[in-house]
Amino acid sequence: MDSLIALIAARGRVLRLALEDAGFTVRLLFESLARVVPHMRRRWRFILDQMIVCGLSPLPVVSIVGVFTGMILALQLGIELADIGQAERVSNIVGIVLFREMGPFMTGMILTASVGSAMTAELGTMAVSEELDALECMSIDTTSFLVMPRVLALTIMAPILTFIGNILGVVGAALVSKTQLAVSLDLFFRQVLESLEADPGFGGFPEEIYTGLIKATVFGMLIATISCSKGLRASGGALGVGRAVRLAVVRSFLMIIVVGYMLSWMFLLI
Amino acid sequence: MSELASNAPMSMIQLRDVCKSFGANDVLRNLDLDVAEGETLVIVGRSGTGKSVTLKHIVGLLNPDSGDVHVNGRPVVGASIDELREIRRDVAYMFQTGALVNWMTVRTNIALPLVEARQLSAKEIDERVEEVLASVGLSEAADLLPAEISGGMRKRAALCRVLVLEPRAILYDEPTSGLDPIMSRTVGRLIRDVQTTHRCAAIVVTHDLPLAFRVATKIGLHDDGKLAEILPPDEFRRSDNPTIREFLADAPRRSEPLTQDSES
Repeated sequence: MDSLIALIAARGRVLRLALEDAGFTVRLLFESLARVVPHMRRRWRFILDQMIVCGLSPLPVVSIVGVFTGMILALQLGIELADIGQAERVSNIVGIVLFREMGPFMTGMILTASVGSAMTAELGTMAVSEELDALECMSIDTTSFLVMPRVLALTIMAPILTFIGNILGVVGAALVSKTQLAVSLDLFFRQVLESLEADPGFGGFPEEIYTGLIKATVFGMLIATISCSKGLRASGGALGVGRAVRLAVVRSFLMIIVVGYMLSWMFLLI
Repeated sequence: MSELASNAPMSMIQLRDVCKSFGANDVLRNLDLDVAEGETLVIVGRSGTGKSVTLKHIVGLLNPDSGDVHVNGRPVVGASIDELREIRRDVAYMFQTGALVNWMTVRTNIALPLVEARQLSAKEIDERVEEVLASVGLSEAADLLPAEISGGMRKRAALCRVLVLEPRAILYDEPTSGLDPIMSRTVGRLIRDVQTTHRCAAIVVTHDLPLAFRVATKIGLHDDGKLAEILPPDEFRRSDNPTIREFLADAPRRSEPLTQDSES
């Protein structure tokens, strides 16, 4: 009986800590958003610095992954479609899949691995080396000083990077279609535009594009908030920073998948 | 509590019956402490006895399990964020590791609390930063990052960040660890100058006995979760308390050489 109570108590403690952790992250997100407008002028340099870090450092990877994702999609789909004599339809599918789902998803994964993990490591190192305590002692608002610029920067840069990845993905798919599937570039790009224009949403803007960009924006915000939250709560030296980075990456991946599905479902409903 | 409130204006920093445990480890046990304006309390003691934990209670980085902490008559325990900000304006904390922001230059680090407080113009901030940098001989390293300077220089930069605030109380956590004897004496002189000039309250946690005798107006031995005895330096040196005697095993009982400022 005692062991059963101990087991339940242990599970309860884990659940309490998980809820506490989630609560801290959600609170951090709202506190950061609340500081965007009032603290924008004071923090513009930090925000700009972070935008450069978040935007430029992952750009080569996003570009390469974008091109190759498009090429793989075109190749795999093209082979199947060619069997039924519909190889030219590859452009319609690639455009929609890239802009609506694959682009934001791939960019989210890359940003989690490259930018989010770096954010956690940076803030985690500050936490374990008492730098955060020192800032607190100087009455410096760490959310405004450290978190808000990162959240805002990644929220802005994620859709931009996604759009660049999408365009390069289409270019990659076009090259494969031309060389492997004998679909002309002119036909390919025309069909991509037609497939995107066939589904106009708000203001006549292609739904595939803006739904993907909204997803990327949400992913950017989530990745930055989760990463900062884990970094701020890191403890226990280098080991603790490593643990915080691992947790931040895993949680961000999971959130991208879960929230990505929920957004897709929501966009289909409206 | 009413007695405490009536005593509060007497002390800049006051701790009463402070207890703190981490798991099964009782770090502080009914610790009492008073430091008035112009006083420098040096806390010595073996490593891991809770000296830094005591300092962290004063700035509200840690909350006691029980007991009261007052700074300038204001309660730290249970203070709101805004009240803590007010309290922390009066107290500066020099961390053992320096705790400089690693992606900012030494100059920016030192200016940071002034910039964030937004009470001085950029020119006034620059002048004050230059002044404190010069006082610790760090002007040449002002534009380097913390990772590009030595441990001792980081320590001095951290000291500058404390001094630039001109606070009413300063908490020094191991201010001379990692410094050579000459720089250690310079830091000791700086601490004493600050006390003399600004008459602020100070608590210095250190293992550096020459520094302790140089800057202290009173010395307390942190042992078994509390300050065993708080005595003026001369009396501390002559104390027959066995724990103090053990701690001072290699220090001479006479007072003259160490209490005199040999470097000045």
